[in-house]
Amino acid sequence: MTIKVNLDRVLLDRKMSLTQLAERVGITLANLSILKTGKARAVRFSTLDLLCKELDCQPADILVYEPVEEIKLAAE
Amino acid sequence: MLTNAKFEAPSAAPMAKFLSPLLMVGQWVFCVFCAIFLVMAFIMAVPSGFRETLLAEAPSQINPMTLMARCLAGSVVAVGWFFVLKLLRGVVTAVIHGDPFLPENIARLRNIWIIFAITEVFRMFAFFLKGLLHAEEIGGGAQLDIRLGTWFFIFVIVVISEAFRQGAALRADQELTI
Repeated sequence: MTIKVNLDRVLLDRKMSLTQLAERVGITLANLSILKTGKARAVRFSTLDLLCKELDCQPADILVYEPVEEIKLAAE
Repeated sequence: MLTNAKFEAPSAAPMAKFLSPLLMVGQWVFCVFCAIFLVMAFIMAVPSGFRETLLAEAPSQINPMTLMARCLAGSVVAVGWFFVLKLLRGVVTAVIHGDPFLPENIARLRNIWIIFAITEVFRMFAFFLKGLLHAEEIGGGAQLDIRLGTWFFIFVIVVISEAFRQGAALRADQELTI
């Protein structure tokens, strides 16, 4: 997947845990964990809306496009 | 004018709930058929007075070994159909629970068409052998009896199985949509 989820970095900046975020936005911890670890296949606009509102950020802060070449270089 | 009448949701999967007991009855029927065929094959295999009485009462002269082979073939087909109904019950139960696109259902549908194909090939082979061994009695010789209707039926199940595979993939996508 070339879309990377930077939720952990945003949470670190806000000094917020995943559990706190789950309680505030009303999404289960399990689902947020799937999102954070990059296992999610799709993200609803409504979910993105809730996250951006609570974390006071832009969608681009959470989701980042990384081409395959960059991922390979980073791995090397 | 708006009223406070409560609308009851229709019962989930009424057809599946109707089919479930029928499939169970079908399974028992094939179980009984299989037992009868096996008992008949055993009776025809062992020389006894009872076998001679049965053969004497038959409307036409039948070779006991031929009848035994037919009964064994019938029991194989009954076992095949028994397992098909067992697999169908699994599919119907999943439909009743409101989750038809289970990965298990893909395997069940695949097994159903495989069982149908195997029993049909077995039947074709048995009839071919019968023709080969009793060419003089039958008069037509050995012929491969291909039933297009049955193969079309198997093809339909293969297509439905593939549709279920796609449905299961969509379900997996839905589960991982946050």
